[in-house]
Amino acid sequence: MSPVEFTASVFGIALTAGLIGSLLGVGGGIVVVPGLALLLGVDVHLAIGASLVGVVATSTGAAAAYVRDGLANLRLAMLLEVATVAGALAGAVLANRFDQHVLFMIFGGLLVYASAAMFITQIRAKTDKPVPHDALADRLRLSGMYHDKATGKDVHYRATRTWLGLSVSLVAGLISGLLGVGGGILKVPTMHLGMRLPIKVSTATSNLMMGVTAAAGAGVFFARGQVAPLIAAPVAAGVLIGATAGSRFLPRIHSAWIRGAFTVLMVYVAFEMLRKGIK
Amino acid sequence: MSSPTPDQATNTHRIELLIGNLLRLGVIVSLTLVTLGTLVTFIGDRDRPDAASLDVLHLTQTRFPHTLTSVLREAAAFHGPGLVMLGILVLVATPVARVVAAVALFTAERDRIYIALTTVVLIMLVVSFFLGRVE
Repeated sequence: MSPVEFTASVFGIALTAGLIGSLLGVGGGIVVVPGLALLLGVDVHLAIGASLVGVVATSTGAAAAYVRDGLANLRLAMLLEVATVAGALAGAVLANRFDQHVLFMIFGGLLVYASAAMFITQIRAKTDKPVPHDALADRLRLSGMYHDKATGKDVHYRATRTWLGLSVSLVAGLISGLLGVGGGILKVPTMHLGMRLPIKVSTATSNLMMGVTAAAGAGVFFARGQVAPLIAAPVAAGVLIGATAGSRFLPRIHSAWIRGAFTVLMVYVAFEMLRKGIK
Repeated sequence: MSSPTPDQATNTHRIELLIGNLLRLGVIVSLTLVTLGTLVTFIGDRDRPDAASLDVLHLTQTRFPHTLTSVLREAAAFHGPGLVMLGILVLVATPVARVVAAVALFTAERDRIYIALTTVVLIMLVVSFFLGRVE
């Protein structure tokens, strides 16, 4: 493979990751890392370093729109970022302690969980039950309001189970720094079903947080010299263009079959990762 | 803690819009630098990658420029990889700038809890750049 072909291949993987990511609401990392490591044979640490840069790109691109539309809850994001960023620092340091077999095993495990979670996020929180009172959430002023464009109504919401949100955020941050993913697959179900936030607020706030979380991880990988310009450039550009195109031109609603196909693909990649991990 | 006054609410909204524009600007500047850097890398003979520069991507012990000064020096010399890395650093710095804006926002609102929380996040982000170096 020539350097031009290599760059084009990385760009193609990143473009796909950005498209799938924006359609299904997952960060591109879950596609970028296996794509680089399994298809192109890139060292897994370099793949994770480049993927973190890609996660920053997706999040930053999408976050501008979410902040403008008032979907993302800035207070909630900043509070949970204390946990995700701390986790990301620990994860990024740990990543260097593990060899690629261990990282493949953990990544395979994450993919198994992620394919299951694709269905969990479809479950809506039961809105008829009252939101349990949480003094900490009130003290931290986590309640909010957004204007739902689809129904034309203002939606007011309250948060609950702040400690659960913080604990899961810590784990999501750890996974992000360790494996180069956004961690939305862990945060969104917890924010929606556990903290009882509307699904749109959960997704938007989680996406906003990913940028800061991945920036912390990327900082560690950069300072260690594990961000390769030849990989990171097509990853950043590809993911950004893919995510922008995906969110502009394709409606999210009719993505049931894409979701199904992606789940099958994830199960296959999980199998490949675990196989490589054991070898 | 009292609920925010209408004045504060518009102020918050203004800063939120500012944050949104800041994020977009960071992305545009970064993408421009990364694209320019890639073009410079492949056009011309000086920075063009060869088979060896691909081979090292499969090795665990490979290390790339990892200090601010080395990246700035390479970018100033108009080296392709240097321009790419500068673009990557701008990209990574964009969410950090968002946290700085959030510190300003909560300071304007005199919200002590959130001033403390955002400052902690900012400190950890700065630490991340040193953590990878001491290993």
